[in-house]
Amino acid sequence: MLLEVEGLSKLYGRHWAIRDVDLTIRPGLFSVVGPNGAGKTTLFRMLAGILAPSRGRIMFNGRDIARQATVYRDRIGYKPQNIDVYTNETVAAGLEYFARLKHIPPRLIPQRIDWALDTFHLTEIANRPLTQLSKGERQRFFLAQALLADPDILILDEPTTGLDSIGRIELIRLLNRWSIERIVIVSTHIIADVKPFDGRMLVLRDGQVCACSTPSLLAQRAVDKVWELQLPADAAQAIADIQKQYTVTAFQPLEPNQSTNGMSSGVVIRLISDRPPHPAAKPVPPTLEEGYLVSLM
Amino acid sequence: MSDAPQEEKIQRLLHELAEDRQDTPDDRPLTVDELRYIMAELSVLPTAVPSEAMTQALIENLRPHVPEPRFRSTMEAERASIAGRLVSLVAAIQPQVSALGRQFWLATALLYVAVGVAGWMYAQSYTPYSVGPFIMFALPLLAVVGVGFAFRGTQSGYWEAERAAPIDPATLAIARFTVVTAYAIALATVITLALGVFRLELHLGALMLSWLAPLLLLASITLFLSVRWNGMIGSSAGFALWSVFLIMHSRQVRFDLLALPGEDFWLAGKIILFALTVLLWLVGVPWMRRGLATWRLEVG
Repeated sequence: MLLEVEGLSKLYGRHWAIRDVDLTIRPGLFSVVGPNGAGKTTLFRMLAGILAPSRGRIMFNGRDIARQATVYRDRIGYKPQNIDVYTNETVAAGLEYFARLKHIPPRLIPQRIDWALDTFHLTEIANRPLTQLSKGERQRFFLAQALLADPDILILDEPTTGLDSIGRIELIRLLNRWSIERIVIVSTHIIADVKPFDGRMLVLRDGQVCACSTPSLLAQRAVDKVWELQLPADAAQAIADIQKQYTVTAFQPLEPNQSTNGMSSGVVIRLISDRPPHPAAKPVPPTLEEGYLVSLM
Repeated sequence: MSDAPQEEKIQRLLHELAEDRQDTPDDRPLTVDELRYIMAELSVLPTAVPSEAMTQALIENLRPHVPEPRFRSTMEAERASIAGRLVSLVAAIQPQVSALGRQFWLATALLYVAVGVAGWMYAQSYTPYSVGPFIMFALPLLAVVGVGFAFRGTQSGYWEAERAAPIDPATLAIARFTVVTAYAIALATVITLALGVFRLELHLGALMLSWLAPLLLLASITLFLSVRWNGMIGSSAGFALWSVFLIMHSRQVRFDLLALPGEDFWLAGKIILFALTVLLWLVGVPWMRRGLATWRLEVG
């Protein structure tokens, strides 16, 4: 199973939402990160086959998806970023509707709906109208409909938004398990969400690829660029200057056992810089977030 | 699993050999022949057969590590057994009935009943003949409202998820339109027949043709604009066009498309409306498809 993206571009008016994206995606977890407006949703809609590219193509197992649209959509499960609903159907009726749209044989529909309700903790609200669900509940409904036909390719646009901590952990566990045999593509603009995911990461900015590697390799991009600096709390001007000049990734009070220069109180600043920002700054191992920020720079 | 029986047997064999040699087992290393003898004896060592409980426990311990069979394989096997799977407009129509929800069907029926009652009261107040124009003007508008309502969510994530289903999105839209419009026509027919009981003094067939022709045109315009933009724009356009037709009718223009049965241009007006509807579909379907493939939904 192979999904290949070749020179994919999408033009809205005069603005390139996605430009010349090339990717090869195999079974496993593939996460797409980037700031708001980076083009993640446009990319996902094209990957889901519901938005035609302005240029380039997407190939599934060597065939252009535009030439096998319904066959391709039969193999995917898609959760859009936007989770608005317009129908007053109940959760169970909504799932049944999607089961029919996805051509699940009628005999198998009840058992599959039970599975979806159970997996996404929707059983208790199965008879509640969709319009009365909270954001987290709607998120779970949209995830359930995406997984209903056991797709080979899962395309989930911001799947963790609105979920509580337990819901996030369960989803991550489920996606890690599913990715063994399937292609699972997830997007987020919160880097912490993809930290527990194995697999490759794509960093998008202004519709273009900034980086595509594993989380550990992405973090490596910031090696020798992350510095820690301890400053006395009263060095207000120096702190303000540093915040203005550099990308500060952490700023916290100095713990008593943390001091390296005998200071009893002060602040610890982590920042990104190509060169030492201060004579007292020490290089420190980078985090994934810092690797992500460096790749965006 | 324990090697105790094997160890026991080795010790026994060593003692037997030592007895033959008249020494103790630890006095000297075994000769090659003695080793061969032990190996041959061990090869026929009976292995303890695990009990059923042990086997069952092993199965239970291993069960969590066995990958679950994929639902997709079951689903595809079942699909293959359904002779000639219908991925067509007919197959797309059925889910649309449930998609719109019971409330939609009920509310629409009530709306038509309300118009029927209003028509009957109107006929009581004026003349039986006046009910004809009343329902002829009201029924197409109800269809516009119905289609606009059915496509009110074309900017929502729900519609986006529906479009990612294996059914072609244009087919999905046409299927929904077919269901809603067929229901509107059925209800309108019932209302017309019911009012016919109260002596309309108009030919029922002619009256039905009078509302059917504009209804199909207006509902189609509402469909294409609703799918391309949203239900509000679609129904507004339907209302606007209907207003233009009504103004033309009230001013008694020469080419009055809403001319009543018996008036000049009645039949020609209806033929023109049907022809416009056909033309609209010929242009509208590719236009709608293009819109569906290039549409831009604002993200929150």
